[in-house]
Amino acid sequence: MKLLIYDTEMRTANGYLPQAIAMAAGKLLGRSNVHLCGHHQVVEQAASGAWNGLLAIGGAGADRHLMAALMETSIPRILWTTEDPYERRLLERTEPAFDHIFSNEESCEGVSPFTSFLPLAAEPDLHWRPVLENDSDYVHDLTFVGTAWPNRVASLRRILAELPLGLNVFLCLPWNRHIPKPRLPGVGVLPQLRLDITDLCDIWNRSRVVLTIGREFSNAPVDSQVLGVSPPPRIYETALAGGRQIVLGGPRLQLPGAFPDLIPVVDQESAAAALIQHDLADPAARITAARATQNHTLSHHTYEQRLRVVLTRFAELRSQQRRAVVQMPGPPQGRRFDPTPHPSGVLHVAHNLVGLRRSGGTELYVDQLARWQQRRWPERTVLALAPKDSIRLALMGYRQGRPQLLETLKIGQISRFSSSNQNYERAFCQILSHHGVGVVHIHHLIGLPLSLPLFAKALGCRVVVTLHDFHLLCHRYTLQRPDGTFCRVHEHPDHRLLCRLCLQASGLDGEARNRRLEISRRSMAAVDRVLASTNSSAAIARGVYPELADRLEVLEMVTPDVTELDRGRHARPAGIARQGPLRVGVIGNAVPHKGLDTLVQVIRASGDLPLEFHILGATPELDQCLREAGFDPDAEAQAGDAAVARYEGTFTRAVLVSTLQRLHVALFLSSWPETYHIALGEAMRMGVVPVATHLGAHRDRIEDGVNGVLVPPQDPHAVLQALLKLEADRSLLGSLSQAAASVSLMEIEQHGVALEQIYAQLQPWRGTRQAEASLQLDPQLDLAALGVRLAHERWHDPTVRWDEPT
Amino acid sequence: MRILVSSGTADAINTNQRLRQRIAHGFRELGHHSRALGLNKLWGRLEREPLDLLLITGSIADPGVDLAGLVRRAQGRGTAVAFWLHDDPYEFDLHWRLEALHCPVFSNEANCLAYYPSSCLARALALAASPLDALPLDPVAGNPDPEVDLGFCGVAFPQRVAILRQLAAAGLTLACWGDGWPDDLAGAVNCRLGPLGLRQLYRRCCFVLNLGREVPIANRRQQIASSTPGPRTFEAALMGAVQLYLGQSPRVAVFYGPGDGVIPVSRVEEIQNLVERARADPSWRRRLGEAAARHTRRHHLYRHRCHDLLAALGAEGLIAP
Repeated sequence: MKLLIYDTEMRTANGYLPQAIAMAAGKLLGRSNVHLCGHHQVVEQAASGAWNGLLAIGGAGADRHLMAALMETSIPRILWTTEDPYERRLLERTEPAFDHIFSNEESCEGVSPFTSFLPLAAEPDLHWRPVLENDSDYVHDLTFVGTAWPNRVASLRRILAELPLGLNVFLCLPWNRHIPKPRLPGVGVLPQLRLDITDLCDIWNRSRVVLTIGREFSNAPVDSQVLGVSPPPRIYETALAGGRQIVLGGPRLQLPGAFPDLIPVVDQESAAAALIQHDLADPAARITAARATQNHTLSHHTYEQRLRVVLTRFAELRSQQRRAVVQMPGPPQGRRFDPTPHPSGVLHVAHNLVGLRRSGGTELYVDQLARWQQRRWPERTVLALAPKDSIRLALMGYRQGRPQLLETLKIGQISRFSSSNQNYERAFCQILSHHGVGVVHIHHLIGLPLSLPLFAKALGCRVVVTLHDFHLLCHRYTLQRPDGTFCRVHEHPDHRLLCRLCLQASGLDGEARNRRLEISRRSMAAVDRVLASTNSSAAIARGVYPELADRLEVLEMVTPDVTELDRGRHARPAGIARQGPLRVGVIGNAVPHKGLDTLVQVIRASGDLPLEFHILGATPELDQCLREAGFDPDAEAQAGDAAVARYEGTFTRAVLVSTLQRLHVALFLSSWPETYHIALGEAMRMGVVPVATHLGAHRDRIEDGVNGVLVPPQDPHAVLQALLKLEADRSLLGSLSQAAASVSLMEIEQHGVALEQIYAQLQPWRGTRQAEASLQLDPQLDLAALGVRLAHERWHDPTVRWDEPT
Repeated sequence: MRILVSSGTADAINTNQRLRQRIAHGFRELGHHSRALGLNKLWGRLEREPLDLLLITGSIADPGVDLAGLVRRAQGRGTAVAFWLHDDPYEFDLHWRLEALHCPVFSNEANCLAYYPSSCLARALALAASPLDALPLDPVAGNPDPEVDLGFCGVAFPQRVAILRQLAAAGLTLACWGDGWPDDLAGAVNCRLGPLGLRQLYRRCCFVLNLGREVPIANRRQQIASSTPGPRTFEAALMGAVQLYLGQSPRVAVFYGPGDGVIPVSRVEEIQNLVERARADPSWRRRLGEAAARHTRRHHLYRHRCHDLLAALGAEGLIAP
């Protein structure tokens, strides 16, 4: 059998316990057949099919979403509780996620049809020590170790008062701000730091008598308190360490097997004191008793022996599972699920969605893709998530091929520097669980924490990223320096000075990029596929994340309505290439990283040149730049022989096509390495010759002098020279136009099919089964529980957030 | 071998730069070429000098340090890289960054080993003392009539304040220097001491208190307890101080056995008895102090740790044995 072991607790001081169980399991099954896994990998491991069973330890602090994900797997699951009966209220909520529960507390046996008693134990490799044969080898007369619960301190006080003075007493009573500081008058006990279990075993081994006092305190309300009868694991651990024990436990405490004959249990402090004195007076008998107890524990109370019971139960569960499969399509056996599959749901994550705020290419793509996915599989869950504003998220659903706002989630403020934000992470997990999402497709994380891929991965989703820009590589998502030039970070193995200059120019700490890379690199490691639209984008991503190379794929971006473009091209007026001034188009939002500055200079210098500009996508930024240059674009457009013949802000697709029909050339002056540039392909397909900067996707899609012209970025002189050359050589213009028109473009159907093949290769499984029971658990998962503790949740902050003392 | 010892934290915020110098000295005592260098000069040095081993020491809590880039740069030049962490378990939650580096990790705290991923090849390596800090043989316990019973130097964590108050209430005299001590604690002075000042303090005391600390500043996930003695234990022992090891793990016995000058105690009465004995028999205390210094010179200097570190790396095939 191959066994997966999982500690359900997000934080614990008893991490040794699952490790001890894993040690024992390794001895029974072989070390390679046992894996103790963390929260970040338990769901994936459970779903992988590589393991025959999942043994969860603890249960009281289990996370709702991890448990919900585990319930969608078919792996047999057993929970072995460690905090019954004290955390019964919490454990009740966890139990529906499991096929069987072993309770550490006998009084909890039968609380459900699937609960049986299995006490904790001890592990020889961790706890065993040779019994000291000579009384003179012992260091302490009496030892007590345990949290300073008030009842214990009171009992200790009474016991010590009845013992002779001068005894060598070792007391370790950790206390914190929730537990009163122990006061033991007359006893010069010094505060003891918390001890590791290996140290405790050494101390018990060297103690003549070890006192155990029961715990009569829990977080549960008094009226609902279930009283424990089973001994804590401490009993077995001390026994295996060779410690001679006396237990102050009261009449309820029931030691198992032969223990009552070996370990005296009393319910009065005076009786405990008397026994202690008796044992101290007779070393030979005491040492003999310690050895007998140790031998009995070795024979009956190790984790190996307990695990044999667990493994038998796993075998029964697997057998039931096999019978349930054979007997299908009848009702399933035991606590299994409705196995009717339905398509894996997809959640698109972006910085914005169509309908929320001013949209660009990414938003249009997500909208088009989501509609296509939902139309193709009407029963499929297709969702999109984006910030609605600085404090709210919008969750869109797609039905009948159209988006509708499903929910607005008010989360709270998030910083643009957020590596992590617990409120957003919890909302994200809730969406994944509630809607049965199998694939999370990330388009952008602006306005969202960089950590989200880690949570998607932990909850068993497949994670795909499309690089619409380079936000996952740098907060300056266009990779432009403050002077507007492309920084080429991927070409610098040592990027520190490059990034330091850029960050400091932005008023940020020069080492901030390392802090951002710390989380972004880890998040990218959780991504199953990174999609770039062009080879150049893939190369940039690979340069920053070389470890991603085998998960990086090029999938061309969608160009909408290619058929319409082809129709438009065929309807282009004949002989257009030879007629009139060179008509130059500027298509798309005119913003700084699209070469705004170069454009303004080109326009200003074109007054007496045979050039005519048609601008679709004028923006307030372009308005302002032109007016500052003494240029009124609206007046120009209305005048007769003006450099600017058309000047419009938003435009419809019909306007775009009709405009492109009349253009000779279009300018694509981006100063950043575009990842695809949809407008470029649209223009080319219509036979409009591109004059484009020699960067990014422009280099992938344009062959200089063949189907377009490439110019250096931020070089208005080169742009003007290229335009005038084309104006003067209409034959060249014509041949470039013809070649440009043969550009290959991808439509949504072809793109969608290719994308779905990529999804399918990842074998998404979440959301394909619906669990019968829902869990009444709280969300507990945070980034630290996933093994990523950040120094600060905002990457630009150079300080380290330390924990407050408890 | 050519070994560079650097830090995981920029010197601007690194309060323990001297440790890397002591470690580099330890390698030199073994016959290797070794230098200590801060992070700010490390990158350039990696380019210019061929190295066999880059040892990054101390804390790696500062996420502004590009450890992955540093490791790539070093390994790209054929230099093996290892980490020797000095702040386990207190900063253990921040050590997840090491998993992806696949470099050997030496931890100052043995209890952390079980929680490191296998890619770290984690091993325990306690800190130590350095002969650079030891003056000619004149153990501080040689003072036959120390002015105060107990001395301590360090930060006033709550457990420490509680202990010292208890000892003062029991009639023991104290000399306590450091940071954050309450005004009403007799014998407490809020002033940091360097090595010479420390030596003077220890000479004034019968015994030096070794109080340990529990500072869970980034140890929330597994709440790992500390068992391995800190560097002050070895440094004080090298000076010949006789230490009372209070309220901490018995594992100190692995480093200092009976008669080696580090005495585990857990009760006020034990301390009172020891002080009485020390005052009645100064030669006993002096012998213990000499034994502490001798034992430390034989077993707990940085050259001993450096030897063990190199042996471990050689056994893994990461450096020439």
